[in-house]
Amino acid sequence: MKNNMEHKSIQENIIESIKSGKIHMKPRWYFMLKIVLNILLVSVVFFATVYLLSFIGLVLHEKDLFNLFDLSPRGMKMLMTSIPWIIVMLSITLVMVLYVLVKDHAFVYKKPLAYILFGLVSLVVLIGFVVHMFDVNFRLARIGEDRRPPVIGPMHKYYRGDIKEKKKIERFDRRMEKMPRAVIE
Amino acid sequence: MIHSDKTDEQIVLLVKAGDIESFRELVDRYEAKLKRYSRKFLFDRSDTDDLVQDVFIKAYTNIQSFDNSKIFSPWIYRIAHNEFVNALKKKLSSRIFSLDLDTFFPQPVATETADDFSEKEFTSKLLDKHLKEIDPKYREPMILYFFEDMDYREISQVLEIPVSTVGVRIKRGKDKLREILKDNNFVYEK
Repeated sequence: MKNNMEHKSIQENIIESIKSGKIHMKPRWYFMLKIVLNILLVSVVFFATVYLLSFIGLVLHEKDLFNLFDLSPRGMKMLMTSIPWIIVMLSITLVMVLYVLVKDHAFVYKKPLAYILFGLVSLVVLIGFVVHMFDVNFRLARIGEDRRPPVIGPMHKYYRGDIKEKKKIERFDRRMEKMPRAVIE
Repeated sequence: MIHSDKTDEQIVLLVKAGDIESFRELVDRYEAKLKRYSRKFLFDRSDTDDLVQDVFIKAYTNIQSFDNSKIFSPWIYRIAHNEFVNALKKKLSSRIFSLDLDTFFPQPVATETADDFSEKEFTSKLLDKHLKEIDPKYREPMILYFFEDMDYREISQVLEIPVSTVGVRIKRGKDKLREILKDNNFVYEK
């Protein structure tokens, strides 16, 4: 009898609360919006990670590390001091954020975490590599270098120096290259 | 309104369309199961009925997010799992189920065999007496397997962990049960 009373009370409480409007069913569009926002957020974080990888490539390119690097202790030291570690750490953090954003999906939680992290890192690196193949002048990584937007602007300045000054030198170099040899001499 | 001929998923469709009375049927079907789950998982708590009520409230609030191509049972158990784990966290005032190596590395695939089913009843009786001594991480999949009659795939959906990890946790839970029984001079052999 007691069980019956308890049983009724839970059931009745809920139904009464629904009927009186104390409990509302969230509309379907709310969940659709959540899915859309999640997809948008995943895309933004994904492309931010690819951008940072491209930026790392640009910094290493400008330091001419790809030509100067060798396996000697001096080469290794140069590599270690040239890599923008903060950006590397930030990229890793973004990969972790990506994992948090997708972890509730069945295709993610059904796989061991090691596979998912390896897959995410591989995907980001692969996309970064493909972008680099078609973007040899690092146009992606150069986004924000002129307009000095918050975070990205100071990041460019910190790792690449004064861009305006650098561009003046680049323009001067290009003019010099176009000039006939005899004029320069 | 009684929908004994209808599946859970068909009733959910009616609730989604605004039939409040149909939700009564869902409460009726799952109330006893969720109460049993909460009592076995959380033990001597006086608020298990309140927690179960909260599970139904959350289920109703979020019912439009339920995908009708899937099974309803793991969905409502997932809500219950979140509710109970949060209650447990508050009680222990610490994080449980944080980064877990069981879910990090791939595990050998554990399958259910016919022998397992014949052993199930025997194990569940022993388990019932010693549940409290088993770590919540292993206790929960064991409750779902031995008392709620879920298979590994359904447990994987409730706990959001790989199926192989479910098998590993149940096996470790059984090993722990063997140890407990051994300490009590009881040999765990069917």
